[in-house]
Amino acid sequence: MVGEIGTLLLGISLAISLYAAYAAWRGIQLSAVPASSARSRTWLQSAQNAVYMQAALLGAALLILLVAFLSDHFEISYVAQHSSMVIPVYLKISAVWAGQEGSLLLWCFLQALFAALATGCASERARSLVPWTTVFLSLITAFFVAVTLFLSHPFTLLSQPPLDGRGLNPLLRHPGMIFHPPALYVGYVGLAIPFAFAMAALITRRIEGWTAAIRTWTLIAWLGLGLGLLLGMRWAYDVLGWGGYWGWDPVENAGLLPWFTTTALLHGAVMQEEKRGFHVWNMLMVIFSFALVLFGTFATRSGMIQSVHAYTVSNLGGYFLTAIVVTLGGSLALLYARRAALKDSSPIVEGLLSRDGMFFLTLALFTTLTVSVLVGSLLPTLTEVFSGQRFEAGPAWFDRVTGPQFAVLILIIGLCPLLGRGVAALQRLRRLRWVVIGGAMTVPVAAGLTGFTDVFSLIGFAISGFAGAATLAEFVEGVMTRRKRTDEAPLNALWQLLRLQRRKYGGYLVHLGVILMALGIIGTRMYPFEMQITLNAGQSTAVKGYTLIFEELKTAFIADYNATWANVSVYRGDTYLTTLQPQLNRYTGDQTVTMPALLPGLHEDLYLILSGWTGDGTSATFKVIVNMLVNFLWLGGLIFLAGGGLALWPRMEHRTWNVVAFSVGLALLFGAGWAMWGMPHGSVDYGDGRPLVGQEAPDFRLSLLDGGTTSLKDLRGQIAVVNFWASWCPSCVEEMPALQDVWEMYEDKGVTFLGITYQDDVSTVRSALTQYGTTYPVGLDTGDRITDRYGITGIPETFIVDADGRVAHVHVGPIAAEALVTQLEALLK
Amino acid sequence: MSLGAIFVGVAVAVVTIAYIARPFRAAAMHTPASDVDRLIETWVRAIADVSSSTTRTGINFCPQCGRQVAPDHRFCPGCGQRLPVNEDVA
Repeated sequence: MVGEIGTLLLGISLAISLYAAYAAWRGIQLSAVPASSARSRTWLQSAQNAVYMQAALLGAALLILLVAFLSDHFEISYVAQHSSMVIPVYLKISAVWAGQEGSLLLWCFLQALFAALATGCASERARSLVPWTTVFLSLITAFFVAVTLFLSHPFTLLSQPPLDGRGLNPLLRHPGMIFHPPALYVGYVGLAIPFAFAMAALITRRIEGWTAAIRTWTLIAWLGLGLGLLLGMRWAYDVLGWGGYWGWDPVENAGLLPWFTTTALLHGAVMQEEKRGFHVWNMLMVIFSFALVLFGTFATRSGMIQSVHAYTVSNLGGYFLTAIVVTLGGSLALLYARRAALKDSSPIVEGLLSRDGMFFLTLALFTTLTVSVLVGSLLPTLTEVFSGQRFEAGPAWFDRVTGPQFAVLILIIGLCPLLGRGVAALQRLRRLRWVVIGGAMTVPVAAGLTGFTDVFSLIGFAISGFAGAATLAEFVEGVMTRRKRTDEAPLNALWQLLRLQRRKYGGYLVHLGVILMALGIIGTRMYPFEMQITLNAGQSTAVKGYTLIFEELKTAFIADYNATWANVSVYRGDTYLTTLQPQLNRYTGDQTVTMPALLPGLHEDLYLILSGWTGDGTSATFKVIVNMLVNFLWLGGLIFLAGGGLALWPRMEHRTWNVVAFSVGLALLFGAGWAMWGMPHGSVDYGDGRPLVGQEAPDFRLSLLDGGTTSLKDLRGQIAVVNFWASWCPSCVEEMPALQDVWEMYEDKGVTFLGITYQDDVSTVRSALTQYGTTYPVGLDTGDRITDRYGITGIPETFIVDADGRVAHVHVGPIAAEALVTQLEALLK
Repeated sequence: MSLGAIFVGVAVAVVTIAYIARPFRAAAMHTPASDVDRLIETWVRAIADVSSSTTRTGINFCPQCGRQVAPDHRFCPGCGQRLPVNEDVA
């Protein structure tokens, strides 16, 4: 029944959305004649009610799907495909949008919700555009609901419901699944709003103020898209296990393209509102943003980008393609039809080296970037169609083509604040010339000193330094100017500046974030390091200044998968850093998921992947990747989001709301930062780390069971065999007879044995010692102090300390008598 | 389709149609949108009262709520106001 109600809701929604479009259109027709203005208002009000109802019904349908997941309604095919009884609640929730049908339903709901908000809460300036906007938004919603209902139905029922579902794709079992798709969809769906308003503005010839009217919506969509892209990058980095964050994959590009055009729109809107023209540019940007959104969803759902033949497999592709053609054709035709109204709106550019010129260049660059990435994504298909040979544009191609364009963009970010307006422009440049030259030189020099010597990267660092200095100068000068008037403390002045000029300083923060991201991109893309290595248990290797020691392999069966992980200790020189535990999970159905282990740092990230191992776990193969400067990317991303949030933050009447909004934003940013750098990503710190062979063995004091205490220093002059064990550990008690035998052989030859018991109690230990006839001194490690100092990762472990107090041998796991004897013989010589 | 689903579906459809049609019902009852509108309506009605509340075409309007009433009605079906007896227009 639950599924059937969902279907009915979808059907009714489709009917309402078509009615809303018709009612709004009728209202518009009637408003042309003054006598029927009342009836016009009636029709428009009815249309508005329909828009609200649509949002409510689609919300209810989504809620029903959510309930179906949470209550394990496996008679619904979609639920059975993506859920199971054992997966945790938060994953059941995110499973709603794990597949095509559910994600389309989410899209429909967001579309209806945004339409309701945009038309119902329209600002004064936008009010006159609402009727036509309602027509277009309702038609768009109707399209998506129709596609969902007839071609990709989430509520199809199974005639024989299974007892349990197939479970969620292991790759999607990550918190990123909760945020990444919804954020992206806020961006995609949000772009329909500016598009609809733009079309309304064209039809009604009210072209002047449309960008200002929907400024907030454009920002929301832009920020949502940016957040979705950043989350996707971090998710790929954390989970997908190839060490990168962006592969220029067609699906990734599908999200990047509308982001480019929307960024261009945001900048063009600034110019339009300053009465500098750019009307046609902005119209084109908004039209292509929405068209690219449709293109993106078409590409990811039809497989068309991979091969021109693939979309016949899913009939969805054809319908989206038709929608794109209709949208583009209709809007461009409308733009052409209204060209008279747009006649005097070409950009007023007073030369390239002016503010207008820079904005023009920015828009041009984003256009070329969009075209570059679009061509690259379509290149395989196009070349196959035209020449029969498929040319895949790989990451290298994209990097080479887009890299220089991004570099020029960063340069413009630096130039723009310097140029200012009019005569003051040159004075500004002159005043700040040492600041920016300083910036342009310090960064490359610092980079060169820390090992970055590639010429192109140094140029990139110089440009970033220049832009960073220019942007920071904006903040400093703003604070200084303000303090001249108000005499506030510097921090307070900065705060007031941010609070009162949110759009301007939000924008500068975004630029700052982008510059930091550029640093991260230069580091990771221009200094790639990847190495495959096979190690035996106990073997160490040196990689880029790190010493990696493969300790052992461990396996465990958790929920519905088999987890295998390796303990790899990481040292820099003699200092223990952490133990990385790269993991491989094998799920039923032979699906494997790699979970990389990460050691983050400012200069670089050490990234370890477990590739494979021999059956008995004595040898394992690893992929070691070092990502230079990658944390600048994530830091830049956070600052980018902070800037966007600042620009978006509405000025609210009540102080409390302001405080609440600010605190929530700050909390989210800190949460994101903590999730990235505060939480361990496959790394565990085992105390002070295991001492390396040749290092001085850490001293300790042990209270012996038979009374008295001993310390390692007391044993200088003798060889000490220090064995960490516990009576509840099966492999430990297995080796006890061997240890006793060797002890008896060597006790008069200057060798001492010492047993350190981990997390055990006196009586059980005593019985174990009696049972195995152990006579060498044994003590309890109260408070785990000694095991921490020795970085023990498991028991048993045996350390052999020579007469000078240095570690001569480390053995992880149970030791055989022969091995022990060999080591002792070697030392006694 | 199960009976329960049909029931819910019909209920939802009814509520939806009622909400969408609401502006039309309000307009038909001449429910003014705001105080100012209400004031204007009152004045218009007052003027109409002065000229005549019975028209040549045989369609009358209630002097209180302005609703259309048939010529032979003695009470307004909308608001219950007693209607003036029909006299031929002078």
